[in-house]
Amino acid sequence: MTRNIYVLITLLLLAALSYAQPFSQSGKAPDEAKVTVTLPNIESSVKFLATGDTGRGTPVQFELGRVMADYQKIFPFDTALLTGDNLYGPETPSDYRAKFEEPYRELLDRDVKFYATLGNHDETPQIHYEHFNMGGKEYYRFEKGDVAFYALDTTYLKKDQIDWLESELADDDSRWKMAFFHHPPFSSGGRHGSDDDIRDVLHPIFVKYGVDVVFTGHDHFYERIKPQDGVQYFVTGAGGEVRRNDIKNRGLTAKGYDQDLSFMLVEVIGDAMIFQAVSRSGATVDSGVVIRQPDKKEAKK
Amino acid sequence: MKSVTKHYRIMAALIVFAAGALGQGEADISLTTAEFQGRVNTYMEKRAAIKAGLPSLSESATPEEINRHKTSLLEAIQKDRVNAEEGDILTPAAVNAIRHIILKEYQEDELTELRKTIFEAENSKVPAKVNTVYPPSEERLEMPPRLLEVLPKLPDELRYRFVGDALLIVDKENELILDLARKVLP
Repeated sequence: MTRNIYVLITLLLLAALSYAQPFSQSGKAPDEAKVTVTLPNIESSVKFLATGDTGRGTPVQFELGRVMADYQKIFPFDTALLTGDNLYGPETPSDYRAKFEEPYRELLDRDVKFYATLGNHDETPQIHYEHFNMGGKEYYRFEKGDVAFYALDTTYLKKDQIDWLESELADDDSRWKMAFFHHPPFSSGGRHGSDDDIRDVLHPIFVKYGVDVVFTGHDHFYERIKPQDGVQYFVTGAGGEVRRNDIKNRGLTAKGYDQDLSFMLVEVIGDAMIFQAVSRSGATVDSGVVIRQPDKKEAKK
Repeated sequence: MKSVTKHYRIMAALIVFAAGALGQGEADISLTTAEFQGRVNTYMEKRAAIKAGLPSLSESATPEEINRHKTSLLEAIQKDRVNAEEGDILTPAAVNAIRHIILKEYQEDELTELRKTIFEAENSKVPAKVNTVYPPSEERLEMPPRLLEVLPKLPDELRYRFVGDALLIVDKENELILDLARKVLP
């Protein structure tokens, strides 16, 4: 009951903030995308970006990088999650530059910290790369405000990693628990779709230990999945390429966008996670709020 | 490194000992698995000796440092294994053991599904050859967690990977194909 009142107050506050703040600002330069932030954008919140399947070094990836930078000026996120396939093809020093450093130069110059995971096109030595902040590990955890982030390696999900995940989650009292990795347990992609092997292992763990939100890639589009046993899944794999019309009707989709490249902006305020998905033109293709479910531990109290 | 060797020897001895308590087929599998792990360990010893001579890689390395480390390790190992041949590690007996393990774990319909996933993957036509680098432009097919759970354990530095009907063992730090076995799936 108390929690419901708290959630209601949070939502009312968010609505009031949305009404009171001018969120929309057009870009100044003609080549800048139109920036329309639909998020509350309050100073003390946790703000981050999520995207995946980025590492191509193509003109469209650069364009999306510029849109990200335009948005970052207005919505100053300091963290970016990469859901894998960070570097397609060869991984020489010039590839690191052309497929990562140059497209995101402005963000890197503004000290946005990227946290990467490995996809099926990534070589393991990326775990040592200074701008991927993986600490030399294929799977790791970090915290930001009220949020604990779990970065996983789903290309090689062996027992050590599963045991580590369970053990970390069992002791995790963070208000929010979020995971990000490459292969989507739930996806409506015609090319790949839901990864049953990964889902069979990870979804029960997420449900058991109260993981709230999961960001994945692999399928090259944006998809918000209908909540699955209290877990909110997103596919955000259109950071470098889009597979047009690849979202199939499988009854999983709450909202999808498969017409252009995209990324997600996320803001966490108390028990609310507000999100906005943005396309290469700067348009908002989805937005909404995820309200955190009480942990089983909390529910027992 | 001595402790690593000792660890593997003890493990192998335990497996062989445990095998005595099992049926003949299971005992053969256990013995073969122990021998397989012994061959893997021989590679790991050589690798560790080579790596000891290289500068270590920090947790926040530049692309140049990563590339230098990867290339140095790769070239030294390739040179050391210049005479390596298909089946050196994944011997016919080891492959039979792996087939036995898979058959035991998977029902026929599950096996059909597994075959389908692997054969239809983007990387199924990748040319794979021992002591060469896995093509960087090709995807690395994910290994089913359930299969990883039952296959003979590899050290953290090595990975199993499917390419069509072949099972590879790859050094994850430089993508070198150490060995491969064809027609592994029963």
